[in-house]
Amino acid sequence: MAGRSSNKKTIELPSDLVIEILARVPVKDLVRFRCVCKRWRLLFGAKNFINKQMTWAPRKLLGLQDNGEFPPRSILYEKGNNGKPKMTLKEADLTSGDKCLVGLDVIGHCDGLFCLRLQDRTLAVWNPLLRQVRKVSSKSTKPITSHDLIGFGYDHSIDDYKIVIFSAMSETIMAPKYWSRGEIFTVKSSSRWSLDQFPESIRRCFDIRGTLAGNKIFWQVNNDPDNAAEYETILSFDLLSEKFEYKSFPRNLKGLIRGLVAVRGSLGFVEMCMFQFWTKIVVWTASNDKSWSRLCIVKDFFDGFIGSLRNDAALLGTYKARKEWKVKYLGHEATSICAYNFENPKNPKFIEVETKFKSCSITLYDYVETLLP
Amino acid sequence: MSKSEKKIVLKSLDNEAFEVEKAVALQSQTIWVMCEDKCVGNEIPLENVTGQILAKVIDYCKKHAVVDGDGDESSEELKNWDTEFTKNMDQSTLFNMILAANYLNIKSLLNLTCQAVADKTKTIDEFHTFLNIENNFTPEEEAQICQENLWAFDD
Repeated sequence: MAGRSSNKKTIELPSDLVIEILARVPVKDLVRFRCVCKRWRLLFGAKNFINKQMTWAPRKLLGLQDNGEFPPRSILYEKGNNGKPKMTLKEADLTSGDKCLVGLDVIGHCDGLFCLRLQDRTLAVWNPLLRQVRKVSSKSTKPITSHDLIGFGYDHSIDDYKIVIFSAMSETIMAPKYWSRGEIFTVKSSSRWSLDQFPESIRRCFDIRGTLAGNKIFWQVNNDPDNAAEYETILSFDLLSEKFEYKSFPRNLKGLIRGLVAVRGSLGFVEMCMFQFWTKIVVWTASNDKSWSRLCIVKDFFDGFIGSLRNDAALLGTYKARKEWKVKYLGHEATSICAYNFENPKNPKFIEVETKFKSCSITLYDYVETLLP
Repeated sequence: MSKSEKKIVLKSLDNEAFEVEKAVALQSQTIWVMCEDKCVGNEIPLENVTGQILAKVIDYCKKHAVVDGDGDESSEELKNWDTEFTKNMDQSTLFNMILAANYLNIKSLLNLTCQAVADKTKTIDEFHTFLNIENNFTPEEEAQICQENLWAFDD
């Protein structure tokens, strides 16, 4: 024993460098390392460390069934042995006490946290990596209809997460919709207040879940009673000032399918133009509050649709591969997952993702591994 | 600028001298500040770094001085080079590299070496040994904390 200790020279690292190393350790390992010593257990709960860890943490994917009838599944997106990206699916452990949480709505996600509306219509925040579900308030919320606007994001001025819900007054399809009630819920301080300023006379929103980019949540809406396309616009809600604004789309859009995405922390917009035999995707980013610039064009995006996957580096979607086209044959009408890496926007790279699941009804969310409770 | 001004001599703790291009050495913020202050001549003594480690640091800086600023292909190549660079280093070399990168203030090298240690160290015992950390929990406390976080111990 004495021989071993004299042979082995331990190098003392100063504690700030030990923290640098620990900040790069995966969250699951950190959870195990809680029992290493008392200092580490405290460290992993400290705000500074949690923030530091988040800056280095890898981005992960989570897949949730759209209809919420099945338990959520977590999807691992990683490089396989052959260097190809691979997706594997496994059931996520989503339990709160003895109750399994199924039939949920995802209101939004921010950092590594997902805001959920549970079956009993109460709100909760879920950290899929820590397997923790925290109820936000015990009171149940109004049923969410397809005319509501919902969103989730972080307000650094109060260091808290906010849940935004705007409910439509009229429940009938024919009558014009006016927002009658706007409410904010905070996660950490568990408070709840109403907003007096509402967006006016919005007839239709395309996705009730807002897209979070920076301090703002964005929705694609239409102000026209007849839903004429020229009245389509983007509504934004500032999480700090709690004010609404309208924002115009990029000019001269040709695509029929359009969607908002978050691209590297700012608002992005994807349009998909379909021609007889091929499809083109144009990705825009809002360089500032007023103007848009074209980030990249993806040609030959075959007969697919853009998934709701939002990733900084890649635009992912599902596509149907066809034998006669140059995409690798995957069987007639087979659906596969593909990704476009637009880290280099001039030459977006097509990546086909190996996957065993073929359902289009899974919504993919990208999130960051975090220790946030 | 004359030829001699473009070169700089770095001297390690054990008096090993390395002549390198200034552009290579200036990736270290510490050396950069020393040169700016003109408090040193053409020879910079680095009292915290051994020759063996300094040689590795210089290899890293040479590679990154050449490739930085190039296009897509080379950044991929650089990533692979970085992986190879740390792959076969043992724990004590890595720790010395971390200390050197911290002292010389080379952010990208510090990140690379910290990440390498984080990737290589997987078990609690390894962390105890390498970081020389004393477990100050009582056996009962430790068992309880492990029990609370049991899910993290599977697979």
